Amino acid sequence: MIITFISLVIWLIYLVSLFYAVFWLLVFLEKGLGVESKNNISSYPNVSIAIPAYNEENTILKTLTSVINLNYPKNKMEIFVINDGSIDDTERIVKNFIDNNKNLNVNLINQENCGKGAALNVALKNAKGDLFICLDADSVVDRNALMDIIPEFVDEDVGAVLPMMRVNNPKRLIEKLQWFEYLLSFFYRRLTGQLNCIHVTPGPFGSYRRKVLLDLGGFDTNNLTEDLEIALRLQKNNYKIVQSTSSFVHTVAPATFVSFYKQRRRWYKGILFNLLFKHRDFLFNKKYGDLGMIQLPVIVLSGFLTLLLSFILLQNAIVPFFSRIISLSSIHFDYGFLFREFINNFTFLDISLMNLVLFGTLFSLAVFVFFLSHKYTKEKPLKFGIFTLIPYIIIYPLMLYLVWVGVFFELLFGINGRW
Amino acid sequence: MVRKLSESKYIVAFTITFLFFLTGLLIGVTMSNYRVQSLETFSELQRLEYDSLQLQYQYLSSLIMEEENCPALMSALEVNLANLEKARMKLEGYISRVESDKDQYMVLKRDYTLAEIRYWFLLNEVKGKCDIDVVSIIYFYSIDSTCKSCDTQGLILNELKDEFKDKLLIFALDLNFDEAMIKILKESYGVKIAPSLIIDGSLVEGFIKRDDLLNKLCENYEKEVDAC
Repeated sequence: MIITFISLVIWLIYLVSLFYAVFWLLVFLEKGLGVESKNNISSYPNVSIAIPAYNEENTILKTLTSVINLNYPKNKMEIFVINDGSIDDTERIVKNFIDNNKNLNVNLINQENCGKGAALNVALKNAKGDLFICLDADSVVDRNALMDIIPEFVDEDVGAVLPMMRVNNPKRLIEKLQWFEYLLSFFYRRLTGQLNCIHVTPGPFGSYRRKVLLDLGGFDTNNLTEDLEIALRLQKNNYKIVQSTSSFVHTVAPATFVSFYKQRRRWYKGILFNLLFKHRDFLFNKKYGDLGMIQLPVIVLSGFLTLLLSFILLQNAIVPFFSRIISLSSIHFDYGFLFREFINNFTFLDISLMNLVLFGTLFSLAVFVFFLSHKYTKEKPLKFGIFTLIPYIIIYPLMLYLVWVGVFFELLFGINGRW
Repeated sequence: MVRKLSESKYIVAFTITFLFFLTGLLIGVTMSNYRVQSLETFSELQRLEYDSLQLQYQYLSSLIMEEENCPALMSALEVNLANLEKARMKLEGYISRVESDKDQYMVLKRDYTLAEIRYWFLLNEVKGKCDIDVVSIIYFYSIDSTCKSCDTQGLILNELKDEFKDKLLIFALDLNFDEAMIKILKESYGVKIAPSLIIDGSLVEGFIKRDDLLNKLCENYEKEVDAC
């Protein structure tokens, strides 16, 4: 009975993954990534850039400097720093910066600590630009980041444009692993964007049409992931979200597992909360096209399947692994004997071909996407050498999976309240 | 923006996925048939080997049992038993993995079980006639979750077999297997739990550590054995 349930789950995982992969592969074969098309800029719209900052004394200056160095008419730009009740030197640094750049339209708004969503809304209320751009205070933009985003807004249906995110100066392994992920997420978003299935507009340099934001009532002030929530609302109102192909922003990635876990925990909780509660009408709703019928359901389902997989792994891999170790210790780890036994007993009939082929197929697809993303972004796949790829394949999925398990435990047992 | 539903892609993607699974399923069924076939062929061979051994034994004992014939008989028995053990372990592995179609495996298991017992009888008869220094163990195991130490006990036995080589013969029987002959053996030796060992006729109940088992085995040899 238990065996049947386990294999059912495993088959379901294979089925969902394969279907999902084949589906997007078809989209890719039909439409490609559409990176060639580019509209020309006919005019420079007014742009408001909002930088919420909470205790960012170390990075805010770099961020601001990168913003004023943007290749864009200065009289078309206004900048808001929303000091979200920082208790460090953020306020003084920003004030100094304003004094040193009196010719530029840089404004500081101080508020009591009430979260990123609220901070962005304050800026939105004061902004006058045609475009409203959010920038995290720990991110740095490329000189041409803004210029490359503008053409995407020529299409009247476009509500938001995302830049390409890069991990800034990755040194530690965990940062390098995220470098790969960010690179791949470009490919993923560009591809899913082909069917209008982008469900999140990440914080660093996410650009919106200001009028649209106002029509939608601004950001949700009581949401763990306001960037995901606003994207869902944009989708609900049938605005396009576009992944830019040339605008770069460099952002800081968590450099320790604990901060990584905290960040991902917030993201995953945000996904679950917004999709299972606040915007659950998306799921399996034909009105929302492929986003409602396949993209979002698969995201939620993959979370649940991850949880099931964790129990299966525990029961079928981790527990047996340790009991095997105990068994082996009883014969004092007699390697010669074990080797002879393996050689004597091994036949190809023992291999579970189905698992091997399915896993192999999915893995090859992943490798394919990995190299394609590097090709499109003109990055070297072996930028950090081959030895970073191995943990990316083996350890990184486990890390993400650990976060899902943690989040589900919180969901089930209601620990750590805010949902 | 007008939203679209890529229905045609759903259908194509689903068809591809379905065909993929179907192919996999067919390969799986074919593989499983090969497995059963190879085990069945093996069991036929075993029966022939057994008959041959039986005949050799009968012929030799009907004349005067010549001492020089004993080693050949013994080594044939040992080789056959080792092959049988290998096949049995494979079979148990398959049984634990397959979910449907257990019946054909169960028939094979019964076949193998009887073969084990036949060899054990034969060994006892040969031991009566020949002067051979061999220890036999009947290992009662269980495949359900009640026997947590069976994996370890099995591993220990395999390792000791690897050390003692032809001086040790192990006959493995599933304690809970529905076979009358097993019940008879259980009753006559008073075996109740798995793992249990019958070493040259005397019962050792419960899990026994490698070194303890080694010492026990060594007591049963008349001459010096390398492994001791």
